[in-house]
Amino acid sequence: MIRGISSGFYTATRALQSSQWAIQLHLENIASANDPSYTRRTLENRVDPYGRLPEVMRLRDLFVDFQYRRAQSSAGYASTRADIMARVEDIFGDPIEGGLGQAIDKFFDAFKAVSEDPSDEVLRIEAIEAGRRFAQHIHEAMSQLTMIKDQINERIQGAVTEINAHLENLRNLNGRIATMVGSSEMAADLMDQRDRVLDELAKLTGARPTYLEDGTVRVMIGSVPAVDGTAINLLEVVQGENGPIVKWQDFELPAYYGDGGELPALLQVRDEDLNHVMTTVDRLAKNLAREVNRLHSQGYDLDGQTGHDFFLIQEQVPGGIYVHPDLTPRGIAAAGSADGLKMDGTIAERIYRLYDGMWPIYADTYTWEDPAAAGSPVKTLTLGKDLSVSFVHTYEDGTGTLVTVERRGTWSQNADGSVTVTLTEEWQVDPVTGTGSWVELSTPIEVQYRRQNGQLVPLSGSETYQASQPDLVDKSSAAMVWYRNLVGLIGSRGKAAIQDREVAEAHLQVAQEQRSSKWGVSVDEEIALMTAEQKAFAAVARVLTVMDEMLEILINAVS
Amino acid sequence: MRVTNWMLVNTAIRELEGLRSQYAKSQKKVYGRALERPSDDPQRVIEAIDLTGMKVRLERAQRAATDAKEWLSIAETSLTAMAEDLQAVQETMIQFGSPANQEPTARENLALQIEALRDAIKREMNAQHRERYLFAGWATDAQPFVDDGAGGVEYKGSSHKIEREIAPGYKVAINVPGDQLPTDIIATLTQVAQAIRTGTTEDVMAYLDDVQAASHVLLARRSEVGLAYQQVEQFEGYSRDGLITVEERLGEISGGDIADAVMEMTQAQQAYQVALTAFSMALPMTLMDYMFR
Repeated sequence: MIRGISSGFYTATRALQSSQWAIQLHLENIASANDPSYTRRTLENRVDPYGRLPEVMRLRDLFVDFQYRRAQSSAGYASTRADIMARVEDIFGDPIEGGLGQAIDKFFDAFKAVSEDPSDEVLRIEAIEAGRRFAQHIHEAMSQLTMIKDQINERIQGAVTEINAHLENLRNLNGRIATMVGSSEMAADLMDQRDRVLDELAKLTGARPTYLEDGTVRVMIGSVPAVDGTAINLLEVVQGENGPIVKWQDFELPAYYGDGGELPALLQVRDEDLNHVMTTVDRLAKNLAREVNRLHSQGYDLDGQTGHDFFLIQEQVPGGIYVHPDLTPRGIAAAGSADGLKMDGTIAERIYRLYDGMWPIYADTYTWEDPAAAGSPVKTLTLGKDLSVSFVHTYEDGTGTLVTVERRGTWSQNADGSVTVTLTEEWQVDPVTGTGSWVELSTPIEVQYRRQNGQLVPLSGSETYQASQPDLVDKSSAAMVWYRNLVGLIGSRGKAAIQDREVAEAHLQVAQEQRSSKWGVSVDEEIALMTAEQKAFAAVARVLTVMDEMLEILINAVS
Repeated sequence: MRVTNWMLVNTAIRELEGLRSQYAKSQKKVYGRALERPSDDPQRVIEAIDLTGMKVRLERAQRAATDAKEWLSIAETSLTAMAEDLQAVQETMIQFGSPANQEPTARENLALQIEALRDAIKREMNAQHRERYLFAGWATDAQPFVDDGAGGVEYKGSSHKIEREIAPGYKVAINVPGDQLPTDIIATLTQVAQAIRTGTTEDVMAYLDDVQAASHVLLARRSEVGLAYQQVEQFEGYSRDGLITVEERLGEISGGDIADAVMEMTQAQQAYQVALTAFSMALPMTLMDYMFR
């Protein structure tokens, strides 16, 4: 009996302690209700048949965590992309009431005005100013794009530092948690801290953790175990061709590009989107300047001078075009001849026509023949719309026999508007069997041409071919077409990035709600449970009083 | 599903943020700023860029048309004056046929009249517009018709036509190069004056065909100029209509119907305010508030 009462006292005391502990946990939960990284805790194993102490449990769900971190990674990626694309969009200004597009329109319009009244010096001043404004827009765009690129590079550097700090932090937390779990001590706060770091890491890199039996985590970034227990692999920034690139320290792996999170977004936007925009703006500016110069140098100014450029081009500088510092309003070569006719605006008109397209259409059949030369050679070069080339060379070999040489290959348009023709194969007939076949040339023949005034003029080589049709302008080579395509591309990618961000944030929102639903703190619920615990505490206290009274009666009866 | 306090607050914030951005968007529409950046609507932005380019070209065409009308109008005035002067020459020549005009004094008067008309035609041939010679081709800075020392004139201008693009891709000549004018008529009129002074009626009448031919040439040129003027007016109308259409479309793209936009903004504003009030009333209450109040 005495033993039974002692056992009762022991059980009641445990119950009392458990209720007290539970109330303490509820208070702790309520106090941390506004901490989004806090995991609600409850008391488990309150009445253990083997007499073990109750345990504090974190109500974490690994699947929900996995979902959340995936959403976090996508949101980090999409949000970074959307932010940077928005800044790139800002550079091109209001598409309707300003920006580079309007500067291009005004530049060509100014030349149109000069072509219609070349003797008016005010119009010439306006043309120079329009040229300056265009160049200024290009400089402004390139400078801001470069600034964005520099900021991305800084952010890449900062992100790598942050990721490395998180990885080191994880390693330390792993070590401490392993020690505490091993010694059965409560590591809930440390686990919360570690989960917070894992969330951050997922947002930055799309890192995926695996929980190990010893209480530590293994964190995979891409295919590399960035943290494994207390082992760690860090990232580093090294200088690459297009700015800093990210690599794993002590690993012979290609540069890190990742598959989600902010850092891969920064690298991708810089190396793909931003690079494309910068190349296109540079290409637009320099090609326009080159074509204007090509025509301008053929024209005559008001003083009868010829051969000078409108733009000064610095090939090595991105967007490096300037109105030539030596150019005066009278120096605009608007006239097409040296006659000094005041209303001759032929060249200004041709410059204006560049608005419709800067380059000619090359696909055509071109011929070259010289009846006076030995063998009366005739050459025909056909540039196909499918970028194929056919070359036929016919001549008389001196014995009265006509010899025909046939070659084929491909052609491609160069960044400066010229084309490169490459002949790679020749038709050869086997003298024994009489059958013919295409045989690869030991050295491909490569010639660069520029089409102008109905001719295919060689930029390397010497034979000028006659085109079979009049020159047609390739409308896709117009500066405005490039600009609108660029704006369309930026707009589409910007819109896609915004939509991706919205989708990713919606997913993140759902995941956050699931998390909150699983282990977030509801103050109402905690108050209700705490009230129940208070009642339990009071009940146990009552049991203890009853047992005390029973013991008193028993002692009195015995004595 | 457990619903925590964070979920309630977060949902409220998210909903309010959505309504606020809808309100901001409708506000931009009212200001005519629905397209501020390419991602707002890439297709419409591209259309806006094309339309803006078209607008610049149409505005240029309108300016060109105004200029063309000015040149053509002055050219027509000069050609009309020359034609009238030649008409007067013909009448003077016919007057010479009257016996009363065979007197030396009358002859001299008639010859002086012819010379005065010849000089008037010469002046018109060298007419200027804004300090530019009208009938000089592209050489508008130098007098196109200069005396050749033998009673006629020599043309020093060029045979080029000055053109204006009065509609995108459509050009019209706004001047008549001097070599298309009946230049020889000046020498002929000098000879007519001389014939009136010393010759017979037959001598004078022998030039009548030349004078009439010159008149025909002038009338033909005047018709060409008149036709060109008519074309310019017609295309100016097209450009004006085109510009209105372009501006209307640009307005639609960037803002649309103002009344519609205002209605949308008012609705968005009301929705935002209602949500704000509802959430402010519903959110703060927890069990703890009831228990300890």
